[in-house]
Amino acid sequence: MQELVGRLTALDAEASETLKVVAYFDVLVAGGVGLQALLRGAAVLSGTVAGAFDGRRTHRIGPDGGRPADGAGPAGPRPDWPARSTSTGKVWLERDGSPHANDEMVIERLALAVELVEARRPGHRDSSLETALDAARDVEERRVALSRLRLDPARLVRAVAHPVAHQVAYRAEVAPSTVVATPCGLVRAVVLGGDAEVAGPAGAGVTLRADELPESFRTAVLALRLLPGSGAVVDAAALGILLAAVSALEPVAAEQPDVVALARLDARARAVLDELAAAESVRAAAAALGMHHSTLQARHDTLTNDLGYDPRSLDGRARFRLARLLLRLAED
Amino acid sequence: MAEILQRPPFDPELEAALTLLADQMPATFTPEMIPMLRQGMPGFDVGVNDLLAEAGVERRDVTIAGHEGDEIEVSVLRREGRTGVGPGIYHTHGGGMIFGGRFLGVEQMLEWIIDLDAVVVTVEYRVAPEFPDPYPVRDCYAGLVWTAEHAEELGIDPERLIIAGGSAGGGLAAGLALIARDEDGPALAGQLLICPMLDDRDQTVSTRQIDGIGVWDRGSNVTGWSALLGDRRGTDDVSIYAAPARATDLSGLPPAFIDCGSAEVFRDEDVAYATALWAAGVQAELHVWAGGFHGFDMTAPHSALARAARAARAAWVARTLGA
Repeated sequence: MQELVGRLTALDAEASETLKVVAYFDVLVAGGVGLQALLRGAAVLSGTVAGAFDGRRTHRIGPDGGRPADGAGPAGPRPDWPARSTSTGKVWLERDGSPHANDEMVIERLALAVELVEARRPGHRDSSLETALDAARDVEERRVALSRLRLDPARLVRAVAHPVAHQVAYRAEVAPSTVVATPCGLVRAVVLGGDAEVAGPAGAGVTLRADELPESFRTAVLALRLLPGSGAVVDAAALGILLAAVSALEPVAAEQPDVVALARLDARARAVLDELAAAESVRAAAAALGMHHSTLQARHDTLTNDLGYDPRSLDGRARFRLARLLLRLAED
Repeated sequence: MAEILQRPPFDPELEAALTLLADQMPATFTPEMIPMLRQGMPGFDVGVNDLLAEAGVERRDVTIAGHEGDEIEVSVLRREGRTGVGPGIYHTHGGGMIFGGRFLGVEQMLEWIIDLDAVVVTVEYRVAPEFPDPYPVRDCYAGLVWTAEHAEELGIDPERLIIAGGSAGGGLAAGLALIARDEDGPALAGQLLICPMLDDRDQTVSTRQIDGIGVWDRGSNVTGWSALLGDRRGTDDVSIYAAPARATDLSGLPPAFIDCGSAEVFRDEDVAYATALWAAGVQAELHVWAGGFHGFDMTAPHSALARAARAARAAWVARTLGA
């Protein structure tokens, strides 16, 4: 009974376990842990000593969560060890011999988490931005944070959500950015002027006053989750009432018959439906898909039968579009 | 009453570990899952001998008379080449009264075998529902009596014999202390109760808080107790040796160490047991580890909380055994 759920041990040396690595560090970051807990995590997952130099001193922790038995050890990484720079120093895994399948992922997530932990220190610019985006803080607290960021509460701005691994190209002095733990994982948040260009991949929030940033950020995260593929930008403002509908229906999305019908189809069938619903005519859709017109016409009939509605009719287009967006959330 | 009961959050390191492991097991164990649980558990001998050899511990298996004279097995664990007399630890394993084997939970005891020169005797008691109450606790008691009677031959100082167990094994250990007191059995220097399972009545706040989440939730606990007690569970017809939380007189018991997590079913019954021991004038040390789920030190041994919990136990054992 003490090993009911097993025991957390090192990840497979051969097989990639990206999701587990991401999930582990996401939970730690969301829980607000410090550097030592992050190093313990990296050490247990990789099965070897994890080290960090934080600008002042070196920390090293073994897979059992304790200091390694070999004493002080090296002050920094050897050239052949997996390592990353952080804003104040370095993190590394003391891997002798060939690297394991998850070493790169562990060190990437460790470095990211260390940055986040440092950014959360009170008074840090990133921690002010996190406060300004947080719906759980009251408006006074958020206004104080905005003043630290030199943002006028009445200024029109939009929050933009990027995948966390995305390196932000904006200049920090004009576009404050930080990584935020959301219920859907870590997200890199940036605040831009209301009319600024957004570079993908991103979900762009609606433009609001700076003291309403939490709502802008909420729509940005939702938009990011609706992102169809890499590189694109989903603009919450462009979705209008669709975004509100998607947001309201999310809790029951997986039970909606229209979503279930769509989920049963394979990726190719969904791509065909995307074209059919969007194109001016079946002929134009066939050209875009590189299919023969009559082949697509037959496919259209089959898919209409599968879905229970015609995705090219007026109501059918609306049903398809909403179901398509909800399916992305359900699969997120 | 609120529809959604608040509960203390899990410690982030423990929650992270649970996130990676929870998909291997359902949150609630039902009676139909008992065979699966027994298969899924680390087997009796698989890996155990390697672990023992690595630690420099030797093992001797002995068949003894259990409840009603039926044969049961115990293992005697001691440092390789050990001579003379030292402290003894009688161990009852966990497993919800329905599964597990005698090597489940002995890992931390290996350091006591080496560091304190202790001899560990661990018992393969029979489990429910095939062997309901009183088989488990009476098998365990038979093993304890055997250990005390063979103390000299085992190299155990009878003045320095403690009982130890985790989870169901903690409940059984508490029951053994009561039987030994009431039946004038072996003298015990202490009882180490690791997140013990003490109460069949399912009436605490903590059992309502840990329902469908965490580790060994309310439903799993009801499965375990129902297997052990059948229709008697929750009625007046349950002995204090099966469910020590029901004992009203805790006087004259050996000093106790009790630990648990703040986010586990057993929290409230474990705290109540410590409180009742103090009220009866018995020495007791209680640790409630903030954000711990059941068995967290086994699930996430690298975590700060697990390391602190193991250190607290080790310190108590060393003090109690006069090391």
